[in-house]
Amino acid sequence: MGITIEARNLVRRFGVFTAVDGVSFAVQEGEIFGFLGPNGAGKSTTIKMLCGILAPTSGELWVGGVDVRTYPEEAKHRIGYMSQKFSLYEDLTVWENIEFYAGIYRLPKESKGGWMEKMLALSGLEEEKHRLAGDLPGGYKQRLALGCALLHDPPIIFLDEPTAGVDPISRRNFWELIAQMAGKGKTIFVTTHYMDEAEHCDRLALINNGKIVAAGTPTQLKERQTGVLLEVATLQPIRAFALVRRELPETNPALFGSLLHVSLSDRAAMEERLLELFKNENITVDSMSAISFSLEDVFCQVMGPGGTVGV
Amino acid sequence: MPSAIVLKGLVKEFSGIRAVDGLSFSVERGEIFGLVGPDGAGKTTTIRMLVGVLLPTSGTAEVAGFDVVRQPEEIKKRIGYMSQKFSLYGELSVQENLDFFADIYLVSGREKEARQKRLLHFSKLGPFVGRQARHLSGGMKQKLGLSCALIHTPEILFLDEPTTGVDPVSRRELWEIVYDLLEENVTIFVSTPYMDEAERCSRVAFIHKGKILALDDPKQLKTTSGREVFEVKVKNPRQWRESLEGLPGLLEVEIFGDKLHLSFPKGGMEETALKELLARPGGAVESIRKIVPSLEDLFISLVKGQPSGG
Amino acid sequence: MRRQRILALVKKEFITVRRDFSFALNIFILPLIMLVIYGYGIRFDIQYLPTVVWDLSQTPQSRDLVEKFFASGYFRAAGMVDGYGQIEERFDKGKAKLALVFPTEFGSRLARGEKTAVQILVDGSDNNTATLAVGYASGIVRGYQADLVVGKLVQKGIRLPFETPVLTEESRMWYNPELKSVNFIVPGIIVVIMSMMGTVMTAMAIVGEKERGTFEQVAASPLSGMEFLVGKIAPYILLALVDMILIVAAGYLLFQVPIKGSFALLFLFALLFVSVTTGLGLWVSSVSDSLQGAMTLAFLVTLLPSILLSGFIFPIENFPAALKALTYLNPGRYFIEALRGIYLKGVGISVLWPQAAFLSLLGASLLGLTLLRFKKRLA
Repeated sequence: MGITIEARNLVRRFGVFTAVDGVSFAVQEGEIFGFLGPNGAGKSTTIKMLCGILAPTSGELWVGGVDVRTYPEEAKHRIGYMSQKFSLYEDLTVWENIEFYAGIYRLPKESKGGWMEKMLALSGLEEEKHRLAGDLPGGYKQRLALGCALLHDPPIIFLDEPTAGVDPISRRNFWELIAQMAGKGKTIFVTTHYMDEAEHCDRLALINNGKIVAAGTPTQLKERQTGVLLEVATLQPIRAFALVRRELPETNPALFGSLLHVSLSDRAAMEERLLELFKNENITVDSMSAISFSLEDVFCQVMGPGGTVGV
Repeated sequence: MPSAIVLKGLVKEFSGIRAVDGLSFSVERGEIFGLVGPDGAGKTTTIRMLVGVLLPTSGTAEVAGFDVVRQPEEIKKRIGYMSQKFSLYGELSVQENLDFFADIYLVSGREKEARQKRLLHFSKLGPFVGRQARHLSGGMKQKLGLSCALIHTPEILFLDEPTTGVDPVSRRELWEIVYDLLEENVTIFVSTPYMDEAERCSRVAFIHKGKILALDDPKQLKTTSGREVFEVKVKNPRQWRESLEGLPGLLEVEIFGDKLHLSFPKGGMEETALKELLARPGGAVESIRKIVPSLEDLFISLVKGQPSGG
Repeated sequence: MRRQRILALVKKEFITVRRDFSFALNIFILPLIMLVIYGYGIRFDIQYLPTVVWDLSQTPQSRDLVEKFFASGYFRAAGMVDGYGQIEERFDKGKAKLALVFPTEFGSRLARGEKTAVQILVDGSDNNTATLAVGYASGIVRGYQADLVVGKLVQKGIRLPFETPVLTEESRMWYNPELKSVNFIVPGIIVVIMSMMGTVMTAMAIVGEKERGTFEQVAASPLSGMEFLVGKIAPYILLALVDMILIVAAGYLLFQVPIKGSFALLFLFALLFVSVTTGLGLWVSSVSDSLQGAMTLAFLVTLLPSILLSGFIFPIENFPAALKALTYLNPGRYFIEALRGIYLKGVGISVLWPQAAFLSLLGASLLGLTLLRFKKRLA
């Protein structure tokens, strides 16, 4: 298993604005690689450069062993790209959409029919074959779009925010599909800002202001968080929250139903302080336990004002 | 104190299709109530009826003690509403939008000034007062929308998917503003498709196809889950997946990076039994532990447990 | 009705208009473009029609007549030709619209006092222009003929027993003496622009709020339906009146079209008319949910009637009875009658009161109905 996508010092400027500012990473064959960041961080610009749609200002990049800068068309044969706004024809049926994209990719006649059937099955839309794409629920559309983007059986797949606006069940099915494909050796490069989706990835890179600010497996990223996250169960959660927010705002208190989350940089010193505060205000603490940081915690720490985590 | 919101058999039909199918529940004062469900479940339709912009087909609802059909104008004075789509005036600046809504709610003079100052402080939009709303980022737009909905200090705040398409940092900031309201004893009714957000509510109603599937506080809900979920850490989860298919009672396998989540029916699997079943030569399983099912797990099991409607 | 709320809406609307280029385009640029295009483009009179000459006689007489043609201002020289083939070619290429053909003995026969003829050929593909051209051309020939007769008599030393010996025909147009079509068109454009402003802009402004979701936000506020509508309509009524003044001023500055009657009366009629068209705009917004649908419907109910059924271009007297009856429902018809009366004839309310009455009736019923019908709900 080798490296199939590699970027070295990738830069893209639009006028005076630098959208992507010296990004480097490498993706292994068969990996699900997640690219995370807030809107406008440079996710889409990066993916467009990788797909050969947008020329980089400087830097090097290879996709499937091809130098995208010199041979963008070659690279395009090796990739499937599903953009945020993948265009399905709403007034064509599922099958007609697949046929249309089969025509676009100029699939050879002899294997065309077989591939189309295969993609229909892959997207789980056999029963919807003759329904208009416009009548499909969001999750189905997404799967059809993916099926269409993969008709030419590319080894590398780029997905730009693939599940925006899709319900939880369809999202699960979608990720199952992605996992299956990765299991068959396809490389998946996906951008998202849903933290629960990021958990599905093998490795993540967090991008902010055009720069990669953290990278690693989801577990590594969470382990790198300093301090502990405490979950406090109390009978007076709202009062407790207000109190901590007023007295210890640096602990970033957050309410989750009746549970209070606080992050302590130094547990030994601060836990006592916290308990004393509660005691003085007659707030009864039922239980207090350390829980693991979520990817959202990581994201917020890294993206928050001035924050970066060792790359 | 009477409930903030009371629904009794609320129904909305659009050309014969029931978008909202007999909702009955009540929301107490001072709570954060979450209406959670996928797109098309009926969340927006429900909120629109509660804020008095859509007439119910049948059933009744009271908001702040007033009937949504007979006294919508009384309700409108007492609530704040932030609709799902960004619905502020894009050509107006942050300040102009705030002024506009202050005027609409007849907030003026010193009160207006004090209120705006406070909202700009919480939303951290102070440095952007002169910027046109259409040029704000997604998160800032939502914060401005929320600020406009709060300009008149409402008793009850309705938020329809306030964090859709918003990055996690802005999402947290938005929730911070909501928590502040809680201290002021404002009742918050929020809809969201995100299960992780449901965790932030004091009570949650799962809605699917216009019906309530479950309603309770998130902690309680999780204990009612009909599932047992085990987190299994292995070297190569994707290769494991297929070999797991024959496992007795296995409902679902999910891959999270280097971990597998295996779901079984409640009481259908013991940790020790699973350990034995998964014991393979080479000791590829690094660890097994039982975890609390997520709200998403619960939602999915509830939906799948439903007789399919066709 | 709370003033604070209405003012907030009006202010917001003006800010939007100021910042949204497409609004500015519709409000200020479009009327001027229309005025210029119509003012220069639509001509019911002819000027400098390109004319070719095939002169077989080559005599002072023929040159004399040709000179009279070009001196009239209606025709201009587009070259000499040699044969019908060439005339046809010039007509086909559009390089000439009229041709004068002088036979070989034109000069000699005239000199001998014999009967002769000049042939006038017209490109009839533009029927309107052709008819006018033939009319002017025969006028010029008749005038020349009269000059010749008088010249002959003088030459022969005959003194006529009366002062002006020749009967010349003189037709006079009242109210628009130069028959300048622009005088006729400026009132028409005021009607078209004001009905578009009133209807299209009002409909767009309201449906735009529905489409962008801001209506939902406002509907969930204590703002009343009446306050919303008044706040939304007022700016466009104002802008429509500004447009009217713009066109009146531009008409005067660009085309020297003066107003004979009272400007105050003109303004009053404009106010009446715009209340009808904004009412129409409200109706359009109540039946359409998308901007595109609203635009199409608004254009249909404004542009077509105000151009075609108002008497702007086609005289209502020539319509078949059914169509004529329909024009009584068209507010544009009354407004254009009033405008032409004020602009060209300088008449006052004593003449135009029926138009004022009809407009008031239409406006009151339309506005009233839509205001009552308006619901602060989504469906």
